[in-house]
Amino acid sequence: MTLTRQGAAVRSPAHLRWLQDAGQLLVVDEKARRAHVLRGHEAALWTWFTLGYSYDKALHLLAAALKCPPAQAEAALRELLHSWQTLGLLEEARDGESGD
Amino acid sequence: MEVFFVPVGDKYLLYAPLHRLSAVLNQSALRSLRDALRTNADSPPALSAIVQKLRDNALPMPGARRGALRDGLPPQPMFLGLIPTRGCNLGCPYCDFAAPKTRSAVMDVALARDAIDAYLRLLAEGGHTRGEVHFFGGEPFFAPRVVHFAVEYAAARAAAAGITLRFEATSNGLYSAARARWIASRFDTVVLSLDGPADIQERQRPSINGQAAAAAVIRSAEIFSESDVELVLRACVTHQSVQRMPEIAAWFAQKFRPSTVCFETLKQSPFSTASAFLPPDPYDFARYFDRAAQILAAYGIQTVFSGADLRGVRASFCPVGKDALIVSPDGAVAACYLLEKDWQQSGLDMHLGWLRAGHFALDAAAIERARGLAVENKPLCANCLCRLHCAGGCHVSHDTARAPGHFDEVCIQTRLITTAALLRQNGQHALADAWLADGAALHATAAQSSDRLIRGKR
Repeated sequence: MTLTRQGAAVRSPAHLRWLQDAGQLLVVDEKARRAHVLRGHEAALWTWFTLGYSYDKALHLLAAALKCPPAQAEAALRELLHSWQTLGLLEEARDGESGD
Repeated sequence: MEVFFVPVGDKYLLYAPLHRLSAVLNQSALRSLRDALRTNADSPPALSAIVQKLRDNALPMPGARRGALRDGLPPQPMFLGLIPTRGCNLGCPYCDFAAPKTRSAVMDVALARDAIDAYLRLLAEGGHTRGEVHFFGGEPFFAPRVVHFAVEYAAARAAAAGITLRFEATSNGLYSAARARWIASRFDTVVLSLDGPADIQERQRPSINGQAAAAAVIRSAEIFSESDVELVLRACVTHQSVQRMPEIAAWFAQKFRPSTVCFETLKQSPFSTASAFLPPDPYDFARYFDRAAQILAAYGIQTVFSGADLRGVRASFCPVGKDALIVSPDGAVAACYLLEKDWQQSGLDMHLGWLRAGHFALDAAAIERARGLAVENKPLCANCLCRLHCAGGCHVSHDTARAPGHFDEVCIQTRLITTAALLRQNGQHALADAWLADGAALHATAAQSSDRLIRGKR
C-alpha cells in the first residue's frame, strides 16, 4: 500500500501483513513480531488505502463516515497517518518504491 | 389440510409439506387414505403410520408477515438492500433490465451511510443482534466506491453497536482479481451469475463493449472458491443450453466449490426474442435439471430451482412481503429490487417510502400491501402441491391472478422438478427415471388442475 499527498509518499513496509477479523483488522508486523488491531473508521481507512484509493478519495469517504466537512476529516486523517507512522505501519517511500 | 397428490405413471406421490411427509402410493392406497382422512375412520394397517402423522400437529401455515409496526417501521426487516447503481458492465443479449448500462445514477456514499445508520438503529431498537446487508444492481460492483464504503462503514458501526452483520451480493463477477479477493474477504455470500463454460458464458453474457468477459468471471469464481465466502452459482438456462445442464453441473462441481447451484430459466422479453434467445421447453428443463441435480449431489452440492426449493415452506417467493427494505440510488425504499416500471406494468406498487434526513419515512399502508402479496392471495396456486415452496413465483413477472390450476410453463417446470425431487428424497429412483422418460406421464402430472387430496378441505 502506497499513498501520496502533496508529492510526499508513504507506504506500508514490506514486512507488514494484514487480515480481516470479526469486527476488526489485524496488522501484523512480522519483523517486530507484533500485531496492531485497527477498529472502526481506522480499519475502514486502512482497507480503502489497500484497495488503492488515493489520499483525496479516501478523505472523501472518511468525511462521509465521520459526517463532517472535508477539512475536519482531513485533520483526523493526518492524525491517523501520523500515528500509523509512529507505530511503524507506514514509512516514507523513496521514489519508485512500494511496500506491496 | 395441506395434503396433495400427483400421478406419477401408475402410482401417486403423496405430499404434505406442513407435515414434512411424502410417500408413493398405489391407487387403492390413495383412496383408502382419502377415505380415512375424510371420515376419521380407521385406516388400513399399512397406512396407519401415514394417517397418524397427517392427523398430528403440522408446521404452522406460512402466511403473510404480520406484526405491528413500531413508529411506522417494521420491527424486524428481513434485510437492508442497497442498490449502488442500476448500471452494469455486461451486455447480456437476453437481459430485460431496462436501466441504462453506463448512465445509471450511482448512490451517494452519504445516502448509503444514512441507510446503514437507519437500519442499525431499527435493529438496535428492536433488541436484535444480527442483521444482513444485501447488494443488488444492475451490477453492484460497477459502483465499487459505494460498496467499499458501505461494507467498511457498516462493519465498523455494527461492531460498535454489538451487532453482527452478514453481507451478501448478487454479482456478475466481471472485475479484477484484487476486487474479487476483497469481496471474498468481506462478504458472507456471493450469488454469482455464471451460465456455464466459456462458450456458453461468452454467448449469453458478453461484456458491454462486446469483448470477451468469461475469463474474468471464471477467475472470480475461482477466487471465491478458494476463500471462505459462500458461493452460490446461478445459471440462466436457455433453449440452446438446456441439454448441456448436466455438463454445466459437472463443470461447476469440478472447477469451483459452490454450496449451491441455482438453475433458472430465461425470462422471455422483447430483448431476448430479438437476440434469438428463448426459454427452454419446461419438460426438457425438468428432465435436465434432475440429471444436473444428481451430478451435483454426488459432490455434496445443493441444486436449486427457485420455485422448487424444498428446504422450507414460505408464503412469498422472495423478500417481498417480508419487510426487506431495499434502497435505490435516489433514496427510494422498496420491497422489491426490480425496476419501478416493471412493477407498474404488472399493476403492482412495491414502493414503501423514502430515506429522508437519515431516517426511513415509510408508508404503513404500503408495507401492509407488500405483506399481502402472499400465496394465500394467489388464486392460481390454491390447489397446487408446490404452493408452499414456489409461493406463486415472482410477484412481478408471474401472473397468478388466473383461475386455480390454469398452469403455465413456469408452473409446469416447477411442478415437475418438485415431484422429481420428492421422488428422489423417497429413494424412488427407478420410478423417477421411468416417469421422467415418459412424456405422457409427465404431462399427466403437470396438467392435473387440483392436487388436493381432499377437495374443499383447506
